[in-house]
Amino acid sequence: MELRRHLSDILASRPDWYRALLATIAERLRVTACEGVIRPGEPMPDFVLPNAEGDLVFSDEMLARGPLVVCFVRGDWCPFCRTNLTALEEALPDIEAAGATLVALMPDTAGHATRAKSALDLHYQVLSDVDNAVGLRFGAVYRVPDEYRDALLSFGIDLGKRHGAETCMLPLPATIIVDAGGIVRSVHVSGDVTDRAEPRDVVACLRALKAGPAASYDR
Amino acid sequence: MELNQIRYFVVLARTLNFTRAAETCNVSQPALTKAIQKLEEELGGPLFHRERSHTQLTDLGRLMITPLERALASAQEAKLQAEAFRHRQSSPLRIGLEYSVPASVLTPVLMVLRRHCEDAELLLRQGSQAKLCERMLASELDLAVVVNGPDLNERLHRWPLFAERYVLICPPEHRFKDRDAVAVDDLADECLLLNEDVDCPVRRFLTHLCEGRGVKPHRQHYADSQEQIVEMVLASLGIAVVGENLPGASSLLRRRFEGEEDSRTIVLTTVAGRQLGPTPALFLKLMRSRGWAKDAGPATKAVTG
Repeated sequence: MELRRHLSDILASRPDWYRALLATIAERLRVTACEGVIRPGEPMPDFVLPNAEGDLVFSDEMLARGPLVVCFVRGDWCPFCRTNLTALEEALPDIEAAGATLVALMPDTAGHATRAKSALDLHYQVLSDVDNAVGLRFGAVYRVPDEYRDALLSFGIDLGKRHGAETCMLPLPATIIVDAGGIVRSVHVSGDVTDRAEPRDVVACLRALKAGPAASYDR
Repeated sequence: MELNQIRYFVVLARTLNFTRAAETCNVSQPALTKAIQKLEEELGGPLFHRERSHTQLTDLGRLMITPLERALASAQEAKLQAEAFRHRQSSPLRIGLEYSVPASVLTPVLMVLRRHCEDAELLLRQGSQAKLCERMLASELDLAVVVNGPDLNERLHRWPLFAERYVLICPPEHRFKDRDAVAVDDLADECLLLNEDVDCPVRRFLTHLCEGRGVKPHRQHYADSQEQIVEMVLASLGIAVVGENLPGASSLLRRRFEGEEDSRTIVLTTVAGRQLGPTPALFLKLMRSRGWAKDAGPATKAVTG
């Protein structure tokens, strides 16, 4: 099944008021935040971050092995992101067969990356983007509106506690494909939590990258 | 949001002058104005009152200054870290450790850093909260792991690591061996081993506990380090209180206090607003991203979000 269908099903199960809130936020982000995200053709900012195993991961070392798929998710508290992560896990053999490395970044600290990785049984790198520092460098971060923060709190999700900081920011769900030269080739970003890159499109893009140097930049 | 928008906002919030802010940021004034407008759209309201002669932050602007300054700093630091590590450059790492916090709190992260930046010079310094705080403010330490409390200097930013209970440690054959928990009243017949420093958080906790119940321990001995205190308990000179995560001394009995839950929170501190070198900054990230055994509950259950 398409990831999008899965995500729509999850959305349909949410209360009306919450769906309306998500729609309002998505609309606001569409006209503002998404414009600032890194674009195809631009170099990817280097990064070094802690992974789920408590080790450090370096983007340049990953790029040395081939293209990189960087997926920004909001955290394992988000059912849309969990589904996204699982869908990517299913596509992992194809992603790796295309010579690429997949890495997911979430702003949660305090062991959440570790727990997400083991609870969802993921076999790719899950990194803790502490303070959204890398997300900010990709331009893929927004300030969580107060009404959204309060809604999450009412579900028992305390972003401040999870992030270990009260800046109250989240990454825009984004999937960014970077070629081995460190140049961004494809960007899928949206303020709509159900709008994610389909794993099969990611695989197709990676296969095209592998097949030839044609510089087709998708956005 | 774009980093440039944040940078322009931070500079404009400092200068409160569009012309000067544009100069500082090396952009044209219309470009700066446009970027600020975009940020205002995203944040849902004006950040500045624009009046003919002067510019003022709005309430929203004032609310945003700290988080956006921090966001900008963390992004800039991330850039420096990536650059430093691409060139395999490391910076010294100077860590303070409060007497009662075991160094084992640091070792997993230090082992990771050793693998990636073996050139980084490491300095570990034990001390009292007050002394460590002094050294932090004097730039002699980059970070310190201490016990959270109202006395910590306001200039220190605190990153909570984990909460833990205080437990009693007793010699193996002590009369508490058949109990799960010990009542404070039972301390009246005991010889307590205390840190010499009256401001030591363990000693303060114990004093507070005993005074609260009007209990006076039978006798007290003093030492100036936790290691000595543990040695003295091993030698049956008395009993003592430690954080429950203190490793080692497995032959000792560990008993919690009746009715005491998490007694203290261990925090990592940095001096607010001071930029860390790449190695200390990565140390901080690694420490913050870790799950700490006791806090790390089961994986998040399915929740709405």
